[in-house]
Amino acid sequence: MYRERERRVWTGKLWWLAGVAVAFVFPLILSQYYLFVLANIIIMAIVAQGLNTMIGWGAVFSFGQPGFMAFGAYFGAILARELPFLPFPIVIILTAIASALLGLLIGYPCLRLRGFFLAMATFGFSSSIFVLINFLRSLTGGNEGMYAPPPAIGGISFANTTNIFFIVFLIGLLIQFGVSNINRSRTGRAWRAIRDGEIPAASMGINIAKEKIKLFILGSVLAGVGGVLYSYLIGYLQSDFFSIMGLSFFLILVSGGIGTVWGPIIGSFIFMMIPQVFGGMFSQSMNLVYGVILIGFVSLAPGGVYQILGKLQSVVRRGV
Amino acid sequence: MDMQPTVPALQLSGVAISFGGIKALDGISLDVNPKEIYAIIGPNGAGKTTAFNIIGGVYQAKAGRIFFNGADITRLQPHAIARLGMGRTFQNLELFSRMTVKENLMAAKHIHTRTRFWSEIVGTRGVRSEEEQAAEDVQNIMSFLDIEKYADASVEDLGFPVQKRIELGRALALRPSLILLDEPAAGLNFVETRDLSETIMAIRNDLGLTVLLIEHDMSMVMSISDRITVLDHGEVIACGAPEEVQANPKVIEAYLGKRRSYAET
Repeated sequence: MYRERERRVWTGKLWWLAGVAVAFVFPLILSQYYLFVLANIIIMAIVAQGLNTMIGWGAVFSFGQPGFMAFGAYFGAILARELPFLPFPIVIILTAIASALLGLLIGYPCLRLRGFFLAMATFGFSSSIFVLINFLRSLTGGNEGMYAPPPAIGGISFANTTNIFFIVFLIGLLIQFGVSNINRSRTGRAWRAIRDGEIPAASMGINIAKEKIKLFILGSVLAGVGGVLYSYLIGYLQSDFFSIMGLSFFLILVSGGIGTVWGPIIGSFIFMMIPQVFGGMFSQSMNLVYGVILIGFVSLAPGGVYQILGKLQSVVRRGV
Repeated sequence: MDMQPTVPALQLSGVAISFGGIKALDGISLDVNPKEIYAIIGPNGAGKTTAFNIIGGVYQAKAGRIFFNGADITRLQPHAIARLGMGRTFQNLELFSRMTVKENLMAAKHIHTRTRFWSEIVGTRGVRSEEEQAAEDVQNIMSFLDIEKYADASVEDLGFPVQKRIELGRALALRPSLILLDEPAAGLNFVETRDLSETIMAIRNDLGLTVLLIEHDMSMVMSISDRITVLDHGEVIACGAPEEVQANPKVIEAYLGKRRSYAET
């Protein structure tokens, strides 16, 4: 039995390694443009994954993701601009730490609130981040925006799309690995228990306040890291990029499958491919397309594509 | 009966709470001895579930103190009380509805595992062996309650009597020394109630737990309880062995009402 378990663990690890190998396939088959789109999909999925852990597992309804993402992007870009000798992995790690601290700072008072009030408080946080960015002109360039340095190690820059794609892909894979491990572990279970009922969860010895803070910090870190990667990909930052994202992450979660580990990735793919598919016809009214799709999912398949796939699978199994 | 232990498993002294001017509990006191099956009964609205919520830390008592194995838990939060070894079930089932049966029980293993967040992210060997130990204990509890066959079923898909057993299993998975059961027989038929009585006896006799229960099924209460406290309007109106309580005129009055008041109306 022990052998069997060890074998399963190792095959599990092999799948993740295979994922790394896949990273090298994409640049061979995709144009630079689609590499850019794919990197963008992964970045949105990372931030959405942060929201997914909060809402899907912990019932913590946060509208703070765009704010944390903007914070991460600007923090990383300013850090790299002021200290150009810092290798980019260090920049990413420092940004993650800063996002965690900000998450703690914002989460501690906000998590006393629930539901609608928590949503409003975190929405207020996001809005004030955007105002702050426009206000601190000397640091952020204000409304005109700022140039974001490409990822670099010791003066060697990885400015082209293929390199940035690799960085984004590997970090995305790492995050996906970590999140799916947490999901299966004690902490993930505690979070889902809180989602399903706070009083019984507390009565089973789970410290609600502590677990919610952990959850909020994880969400903030993922948004912050997504932000830095976004600054690498776009190369230029403006607060508007983030302030219009407001509901995007909700659309991603609803279309992909909320509360599932792979939902954010599927959803992000759908969200980013919509403009690619409908861009010609509806380029002036993309929000209309998003709206119709959102309503469609909420009313017909609230579990998103993940739920639809699950149903298809059971239908196929029954057929065989 | 001959050896009275020095430290009660649970002790309430003068516990009171009110909600908006209504005294839900007005200074109730009781002692539960280790390995005793102790029942709290009383008409609807007597304050029984309120008492459970105060003991479990969901509400804070306005006055009085609560001791659990000699430790003052009056001001502790629910999770801290659970950690000291108190498990509970709820009157209206409070299962983690979107999780499987096994996961529900595993969630109660939270306090028995201590792995760090970082090793969970990586999925270290330590995390896995701890998971395995917890899963083994959960397996034992599931077979004790005969719910193994539902292990991977989603809780929402199961019937009410099974859900009640799952909730009991979740409380047992905490490996508590005291278990609070809020109307365990409510909604069960005769056979299921008889099985439940046997299970509660086994929890005390085989697992060595102290059991405190709220129950309306009088035949069950009278047959399994060692002692009973009767609450009415937030006050203790009687306390003692089943026969004593049954014969107490105050208790009869609380349940059936005064004959005179009936005649007057």
